[in-house]
Amino acid sequence: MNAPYIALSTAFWWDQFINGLTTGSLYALIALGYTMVYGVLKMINFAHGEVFMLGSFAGYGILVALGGDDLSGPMIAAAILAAIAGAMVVSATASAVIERLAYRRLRNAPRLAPLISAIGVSIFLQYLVLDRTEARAKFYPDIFPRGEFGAGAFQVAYMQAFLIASSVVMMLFLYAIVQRTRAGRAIRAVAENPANASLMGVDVNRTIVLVFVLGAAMAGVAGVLHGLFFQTIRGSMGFLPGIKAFTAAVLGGIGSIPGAVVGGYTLGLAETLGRELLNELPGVDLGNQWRDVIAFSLLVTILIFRPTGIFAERTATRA
Amino acid sequence: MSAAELRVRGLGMQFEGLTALADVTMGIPAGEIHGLIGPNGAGKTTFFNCLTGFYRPTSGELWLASQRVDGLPTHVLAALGVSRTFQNIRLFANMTALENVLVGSHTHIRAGGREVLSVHRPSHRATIDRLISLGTAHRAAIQGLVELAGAVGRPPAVRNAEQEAVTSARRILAAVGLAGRENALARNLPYGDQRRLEVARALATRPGLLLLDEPTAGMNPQESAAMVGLIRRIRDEFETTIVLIEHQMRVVMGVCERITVLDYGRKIAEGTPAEVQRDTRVIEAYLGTRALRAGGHGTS
Amino acid sequence: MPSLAAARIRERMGAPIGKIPGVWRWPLFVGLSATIPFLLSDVWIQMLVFVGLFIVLGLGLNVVVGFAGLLDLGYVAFFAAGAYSLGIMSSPGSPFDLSMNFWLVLPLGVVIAALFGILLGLPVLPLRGDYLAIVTLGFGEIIRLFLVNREDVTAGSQGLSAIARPEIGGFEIESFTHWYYFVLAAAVVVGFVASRLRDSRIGRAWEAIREDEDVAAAMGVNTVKYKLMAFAIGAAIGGLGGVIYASFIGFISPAGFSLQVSIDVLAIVIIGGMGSTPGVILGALVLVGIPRILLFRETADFLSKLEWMREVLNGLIRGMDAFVPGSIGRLPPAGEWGAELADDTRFIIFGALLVIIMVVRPEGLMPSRRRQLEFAIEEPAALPATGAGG
Repeated sequence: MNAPYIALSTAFWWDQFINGLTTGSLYALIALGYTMVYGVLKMINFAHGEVFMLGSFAGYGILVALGGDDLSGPMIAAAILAAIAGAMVVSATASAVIERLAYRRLRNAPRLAPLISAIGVSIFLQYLVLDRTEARAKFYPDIFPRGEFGAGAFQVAYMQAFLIASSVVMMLFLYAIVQRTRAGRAIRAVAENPANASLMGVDVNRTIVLVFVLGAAMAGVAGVLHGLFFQTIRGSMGFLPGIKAFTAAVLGGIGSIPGAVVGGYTLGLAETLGRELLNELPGVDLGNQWRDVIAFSLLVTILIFRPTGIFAERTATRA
Repeated sequence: MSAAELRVRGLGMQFEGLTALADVTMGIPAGEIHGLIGPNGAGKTTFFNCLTGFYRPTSGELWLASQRVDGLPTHVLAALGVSRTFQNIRLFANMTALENVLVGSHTHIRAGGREVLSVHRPSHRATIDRLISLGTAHRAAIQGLVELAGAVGRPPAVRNAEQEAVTSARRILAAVGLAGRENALARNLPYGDQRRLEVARALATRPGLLLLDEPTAGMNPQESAAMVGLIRRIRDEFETTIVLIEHQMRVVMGVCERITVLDYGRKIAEGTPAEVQRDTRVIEAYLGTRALRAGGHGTS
Repeated sequence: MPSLAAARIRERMGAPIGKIPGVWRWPLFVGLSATIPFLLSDVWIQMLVFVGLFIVLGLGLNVVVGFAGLLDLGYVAFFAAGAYSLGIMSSPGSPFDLSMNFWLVLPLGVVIAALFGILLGLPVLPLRGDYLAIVTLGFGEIIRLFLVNREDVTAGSQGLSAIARPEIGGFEIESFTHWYYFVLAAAVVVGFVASRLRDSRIGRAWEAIREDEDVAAAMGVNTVKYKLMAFAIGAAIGGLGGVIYASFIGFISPAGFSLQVSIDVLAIVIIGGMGSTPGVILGALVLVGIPRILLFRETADFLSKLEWMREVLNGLIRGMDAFVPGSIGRLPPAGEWGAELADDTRFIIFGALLVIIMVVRPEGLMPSRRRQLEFAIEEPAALPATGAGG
């Protein structure tokens, strides 16, 4: 092998690696919502993908309102920040409303009821947006500065760096809330044992709403980042990332916040690098569709063989 | 099914970082009423879970009527004659009393074709191997199809088998004192009746070994006395070995012929009620000297 | 939680079906249904054929979800198995040139679907609740991706056409009326089999597994066998529906076997009334029939007469414009309301309906007696056991 070939190869794999980190960041952010809700309510919030979608649209609306493609200079940064903040608010509000209307009364119902209700919310929101947008995609203003930085084969696009960095900042922010504040303590208490938490003076309902809000805020941020990076958004965009993020949450151990982060990045890397690695095998040419197949297969495999996740803590179990 | 002898050798149950049972060895002759006591967390229910296949013991052997049974799946153990009640009542809440008992008699209702696992003569490891071999899968599939055909077609054989099962279920309900309550939903029954229904359901499996997990929990002295009477009658009329987890010392000392005492997963004493009451290790474990002597409630 | 009073009222409303003595129900249903083609036009009969197909599917899923309590979100996989069995084995465009007879493929398709049921059921045996739902959803999607991607087997996205029709002697099923009776017969057979299963030792085992799986095993129920049986039977019925569907439409492609189908069938079972055959029938009529009816010409004609209503409502909206300019827009012509509802807004309503039903009446519109009891509030121990308990 001669030198330029190696350089090309390395650059290629590095790019895929960064791609994996990028999508992984998004999965991690969304996964946090799933894992936190499951931690306190032991239910899969099927509608969480749509909360992500709503955040994305909210960001879109804000950017367009602030000038869209006409934005320039420092206004861009301000607009993006506004979009992110706005998306967090919209997603959080939506999630809180969903909890209040569709889930709260079903907390003690048989397992099927909140599940169906969540599916109903998901369908409702998806088609509501599809209807309002006449099923046409919307396009985020292309305002983020292009360009890369780095050395030699190791280049990183500004957009990717921003995405990964913002995600990490949000995750740290969430971690701080959960670990350092009273509200966070309340969340951990309810996740472990709602009855006991209640006896110790924790307002369980308020705490649960907080959990939904925090998770949704993360998803809202992910929505804007997704829009900025991939540009295209549509009403049905929440389904696939939702499923994948859930897979990530399980991968890292459902109920565990660090787990969701690790799971998210693992899935992002596995998806991107995995497909490329498989393509290296002779005779294998997997199109983009196969990323989804990999994701679904991973989901199914994990849930069947290792539902506690790869990194879950082992505790004494009882029958 | 006649009463079965239980032999336990070096039974151990290890979880990650927690030893629930360690090196438990005991023997219970067929037809005995045997008590199992010990402070909370001593491993009593864990022991039951090992006997019924809810847990797979990490070490040791279990022998039921000279057959090795550790590691067998739960439903196979049930077919071999091990049955139980639960500490926190676990009835089929939305089914009637009769239906609950009928589920108990599931394995004994002929539904066309024999169950894959013959109840009569499996041998230890060979049984486990057979269960996972392909031959068994084929037989299971055929037997399943026959059962399906029987369920849909309802030939006289199936109808008669059902009728027999209902008759026998009614008899069991009457034996535990629930005659006439057969159409009541399990969850609507008063507490004491629910406990008795659980016993009835366990009896329907025609056990050789009946495991009762705190059958008098939550009962007043009157109800407890009634349950004690029921336990004696069961051993006599239904011919089964009975192992009893209990905290009410009066009950234990009154009805059990011999007692095993567990503490921190280990057997610390075994013998007649009188012997156990005097055993210093037992007294230490409970720290309730006076309580033991007076035959009152054990400490928790 | 609903109050005691509300629960008593709901109980009194109950299921009118309960008033008809058991033995008469089936003959009554079949008799009434048989007269329908004489009373309604072809458009209605076509709609009823679709309803009938979904009744078959609903009854199949009912075995899995309603009887055995296994949350299956990937039911479309079995439907597809049946449909593609017929498609692959009989379509001239299929990668395998077989051109087999319908009646030959029908039992094959059912068996293949049943095998799929067991195959998909085996790995998910230890899963419960939400996890089971997600994994079965994953399986359904994997199947769909397989249908699209493996063109060498399934002819991919272009689909399979000219699928075989059932014929007996020289008589081939052609008209909608023929199909109606065919589907009706299938539904009756499936319904009969399902009810026999429910009232048997198998049904009791399923009920016990549904209530408390571990305890059922402790009582001697081979949970592996019975859960697989539930999957297999449910899948077989789904496969039957698939074979009939493929033959009826004549053309199948992966697009017709999406997650939405699984959700539709689940909704029929849940909203109609879980565990109950009349409930499934009602569910199919409401969720499949009504959207189709809304698309009829007759409906459009009827709705055109409501044009005055549109004027009034638009006027009101114009009034609201004073506060929030251009917020809602104007209503389309009354004649088009049906089409609008059936198309765009159908899913919005569908989703909202799922939530509303779960929150207000989770047992469904016409549940079986037992499901009603399961969802009823817990009566405090102090109350005497009223008739509600029996």
